[in-house]
Amino acid sequence: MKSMKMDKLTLFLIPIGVAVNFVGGQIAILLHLPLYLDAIGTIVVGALCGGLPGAIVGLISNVLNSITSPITMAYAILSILFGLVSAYASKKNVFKNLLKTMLISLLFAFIGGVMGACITWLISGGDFGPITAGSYAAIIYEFTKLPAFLCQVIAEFGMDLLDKFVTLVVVFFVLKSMPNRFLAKLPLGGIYATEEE
Amino acid sequence: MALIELQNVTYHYPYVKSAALQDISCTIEEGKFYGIIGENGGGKTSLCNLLRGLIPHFYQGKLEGKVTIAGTDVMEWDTGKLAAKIGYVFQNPFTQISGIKETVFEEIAMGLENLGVPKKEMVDEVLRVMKLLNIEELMEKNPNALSGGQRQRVAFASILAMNSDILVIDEPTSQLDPQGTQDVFEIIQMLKASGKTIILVEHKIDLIARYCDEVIVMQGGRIVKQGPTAEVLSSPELPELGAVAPQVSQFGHAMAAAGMPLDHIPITIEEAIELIQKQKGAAK
Amino acid sequence: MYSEFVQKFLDYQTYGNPFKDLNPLSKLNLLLVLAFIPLVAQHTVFAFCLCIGYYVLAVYIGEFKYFNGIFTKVAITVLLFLLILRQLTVEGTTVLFSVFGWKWTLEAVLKALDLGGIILGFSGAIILFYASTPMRDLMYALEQKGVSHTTSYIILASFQTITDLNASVNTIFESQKARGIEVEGNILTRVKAFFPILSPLLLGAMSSAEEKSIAMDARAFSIDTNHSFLRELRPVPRWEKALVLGANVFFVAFCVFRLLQMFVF
Repeated sequence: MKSMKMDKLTLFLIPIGVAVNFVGGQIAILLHLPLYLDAIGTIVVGALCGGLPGAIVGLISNVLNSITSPITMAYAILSILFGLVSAYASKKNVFKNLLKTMLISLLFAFIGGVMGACITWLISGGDFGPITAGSYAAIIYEFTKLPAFLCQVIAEFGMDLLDKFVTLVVVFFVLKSMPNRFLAKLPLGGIYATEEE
Repeated sequence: MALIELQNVTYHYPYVKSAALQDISCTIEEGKFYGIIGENGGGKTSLCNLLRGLIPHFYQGKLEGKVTIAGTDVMEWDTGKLAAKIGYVFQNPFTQISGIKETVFEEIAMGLENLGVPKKEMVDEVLRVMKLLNIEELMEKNPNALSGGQRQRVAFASILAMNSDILVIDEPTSQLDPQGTQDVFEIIQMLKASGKTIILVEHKIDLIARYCDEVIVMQGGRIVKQGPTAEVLSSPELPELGAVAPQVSQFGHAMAAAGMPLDHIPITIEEAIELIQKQKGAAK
Repeated sequence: MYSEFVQKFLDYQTYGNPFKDLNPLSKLNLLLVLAFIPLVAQHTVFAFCLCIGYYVLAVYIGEFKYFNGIFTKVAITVLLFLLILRQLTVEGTTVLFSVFGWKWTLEAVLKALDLGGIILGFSGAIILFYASTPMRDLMYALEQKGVSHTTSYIILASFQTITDLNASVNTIFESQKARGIEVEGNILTRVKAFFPILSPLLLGAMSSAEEKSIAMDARAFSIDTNHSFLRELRPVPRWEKALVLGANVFFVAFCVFRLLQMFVF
């Protein structure tokens, strides 16, 4: 009975998580930041509500992105993983400590960058993919003559590491600034709540 | 018949030490129109949340005492059913629009869709409430692009369409002009006439005085006064309890202080006029 | 006795265009078959012909502008990237021209077009699907197939929430700027400005979620009864079912044929 109620608020947070993913990207553009910042909603919902809601936010964001960019669909699994990993990290109290939060960005960048590069490689017939990271990979390839796949991995991981580092620092402060009365109603909110008058 | 019964209810929101509601006891009877007044932060909205079962189901926290709704303990109610049984309109008109419908007509019909009402009935019901609230001209508009006042009427219509027996209404007129407010009160009056139980939080005290059967005054999370409207609103201690008294009852008290007491303390302007005329007649 | 607007709800929702009026799921099925044919066929000319076919369909359903807007953007990005990147990795002998000593080969161009055709053949089908299907129609069709109305709500509400939050972004951006938060300067300054813009937006939206869930519950959102629908799509006609079945049978047969071609012949 109790958990069912909490799920209800979670349900209404999912569209907000999706919207925050989009708006995060839009603010990044407004501030001329060379970052995507388009997974904040997924990670925040994952951290506060659990793996499934986080994964759903990721999946829906991915589907909505595919409206204007159908190839994005191939990367859906990454968005889902962000939500799942976020919930796991949240349960392990990672997001309560800034240093740990910064370190976990490595894991997120691994998913986004290394696994992302594998997907790019697969859908591009074993060659550089038609995405921004592909051009960086090509530049690395030209200068280092390292294997092409490794270049794609380095390029995607590098771009993603910077992005996820900033994303997770933002997530840390968002979770910290969440009011208690609100946290009380969320499945994993108790992790971030503090007793007050 | 007692529809909702509260016995010595004390409630704490989660992670908050001070109680939001303290030792609340009251009975809501079927078919009556209740007004809840009092200072801001005095517990009016918390009381509403309690009456519709959101406390404790939604807000969690610590609840002591006994809450019975339609004969069943609140803890045993299925919240989905309870929410649909007790209609609820609240202040913020922006969050009450679903955000998934493209026209006002569809927005109002949504509750009926959720209840599984057949289409023909649904259409007739939506048309009826739109006429009642005089928002027929909004029918084809996008509900997400309306003004605050328009949204408030649409939100109200959406709840009315569902035809619940109990209505909890928290400041439904905050975004409306005096005429719109008057209209809403007349609709509430009509609803009461059709046998519905109404619980209204409202700052506009003169309208409370005119329409309500009973008034509950809240202060510091406690019910500090409750009873028939005339009795509560004519009480001289109202300002001390953090509530505003109707202007005419203030006038009545002033007359008494000046040594020219009226027959009793009036709470509506009509009543005041009548009393003054009577007094004048007596003086002659 | 009802106005035209109200009467429309009593009838099935139609657009008066045979393709648009296909059930969203039939349409999705048919377009997905088309989307994957270039991949299975591995035939570049065919893939680009298919793209022209998408254009014809887009004109037919009156969505040329929408389709063209998105499709050209995708096509230019994909082809541009591929044409340049493949010149770096594909060894070719037939030099077409050279830019500052960088030789462009025909082999690399063909390789780029091969993949480009597959990606665009797929993308075009998806773009066309969204161009011809309002999201609420897709959700209606899914609900008919047993998808819960909460799923449908979440997806439809996501669109409106994006619109709402986007509208607030600019307001908050300007007001934070006015309060002295630096939004220009070096990258660190700009990164620092991100949080004060996002945070009020996020917290505001989250607290409204609470009220929204209460408001929607009051509209019987959490009651487990069969729903009725004010807007209804027409029941799927027999010929449409046959068409979808035919397309699927053809697709499976084609896949089998291609596999045999690759491994047997």
